[in-house]
Amino acid sequence: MSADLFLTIEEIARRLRARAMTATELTAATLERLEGGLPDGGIASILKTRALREAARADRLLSRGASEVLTGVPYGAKDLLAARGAPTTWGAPSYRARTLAFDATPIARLHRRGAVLTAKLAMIELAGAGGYRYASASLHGLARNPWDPRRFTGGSSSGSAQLVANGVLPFALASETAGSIATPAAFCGVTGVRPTPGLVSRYGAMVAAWSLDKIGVMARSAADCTIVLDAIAGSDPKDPSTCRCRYRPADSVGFTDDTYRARIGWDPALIERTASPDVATAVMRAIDDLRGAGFAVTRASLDFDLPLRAMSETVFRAEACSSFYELIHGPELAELVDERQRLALRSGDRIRAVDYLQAMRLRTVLQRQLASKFAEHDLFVSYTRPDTAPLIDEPLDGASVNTDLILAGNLAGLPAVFAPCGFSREGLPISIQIIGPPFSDGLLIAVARRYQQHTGHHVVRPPASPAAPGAAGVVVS
Amino acid sequence: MRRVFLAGGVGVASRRSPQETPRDPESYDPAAHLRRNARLLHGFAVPPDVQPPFELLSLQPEQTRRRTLLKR
Repeated sequence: MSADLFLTIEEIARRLRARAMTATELTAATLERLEGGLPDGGIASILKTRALREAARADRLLSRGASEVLTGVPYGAKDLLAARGAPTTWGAPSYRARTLAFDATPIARLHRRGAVLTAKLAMIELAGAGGYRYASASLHGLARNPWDPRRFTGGSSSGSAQLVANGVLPFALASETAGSIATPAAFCGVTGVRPTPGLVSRYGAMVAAWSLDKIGVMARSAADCTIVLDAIAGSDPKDPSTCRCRYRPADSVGFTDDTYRARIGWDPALIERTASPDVATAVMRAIDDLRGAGFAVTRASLDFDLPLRAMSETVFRAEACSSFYELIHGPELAELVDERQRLALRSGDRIRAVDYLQAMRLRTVLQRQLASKFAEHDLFVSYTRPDTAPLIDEPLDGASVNTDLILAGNLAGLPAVFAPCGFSREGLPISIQIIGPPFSDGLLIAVARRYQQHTGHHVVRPPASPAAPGAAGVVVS
Repeated sequence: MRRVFLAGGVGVASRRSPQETPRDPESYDPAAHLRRNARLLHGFAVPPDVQPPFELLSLQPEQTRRRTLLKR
């Protein structure tokens, strides 16, 4: 069976219901691509047995007239989410043989909707909790960018971005602590959503930093992201940090009008000062496109007079060093791939309580600064990354890049959507991010969806990726 | 002069925050890095009534409120 690559969730659902293909055929074709090594360094493990079992179940549900759009749709999950019977490595050599006996809540919820888990996806070891110097900082090796295999996908959700970008999977679960959805989504040209903290359960996910971790989605469009987020969001008694606020998808009653009333702010000075020329050009065009799509986009200041990087590093590392204390103080630390990550995690013991608390209290100050900004605008738009994907062997901690809005959004607990907005002269994807106040997820995705209906950047496909059979560390079960 | 943040959230601007210099990939010194981060963090005075954002640590506001009501 030769199913088309790059189908959206809604397209797949239509074909399954029209009997143009079965879920089992689609799953078998997806597994074939995964096993053939089309993705390059993006796979942690292929769940052949489970996927075919779930696909057969989906076919039974479809034959009984199942109306759920995700039934029979294949997907992948970042390897920090537990999946029953599958290896869950967190991208770290120390956990290469670990198998967990339960499903993380987002995976369990997708199972209930009939989606088919085909693969666990590669990630930077421990989600880059200590900071990492090289793209190779993973049990699964180098994750190459589908737009240019000499370049990095970005991390830590490397495989999630790669497998969606190269058309093998229509969507993938990912996570963000300090930019792990934003960066790979931008570098690989896929649409990503970082939900409001508390909207999606983290039960069964690796803990990198309690106060920063979010489980999110990568897909080929904002429309697909909303389908997945609707499926995985919601209160979970197994995760006390989840809230009772429901995700309100863009097609809720009366929501379209709200979308058009959204006041969107942008900071031209920030873009002119910090973005590369290609990124600045693409983002300026995106601002015009948003206006062309009917939105009021006006000038604002996105300047934060706060040490955002120091705040993020201090909180992330202190919480991660507590979470990974046993690993850091055991022989497993030496097994981590990246030397900088080892050094930084080991040094986490020396973060003082007063420094952590100061960083945390500055987060409250940041929230208040943002609250005053949201008094005048409902949402803000800017670039996701001011640069494009780096070369794969380039040190990643040497460049001075401005990722302040990513850091600010994570520190303050704000949702964001990341959407492709064009290409550099080298043909590398460029992305905008739209951020809003807590629980504005539905509005954000609705705006991105409207933007994508007026532009076509999200449907542009990368050049064919060369097959690379036998990718390092891939397990087939 | 240090920047002082008021409880209401509007700061009294004095000067830009200290620049966060790019890290040299070939000379990473974790201890020096931590010291620099600490220096940057404490370059900002925060009033005593400003607490950490507890809702991001565990419970969302609605649940926090419910707990508070129960205590009362």
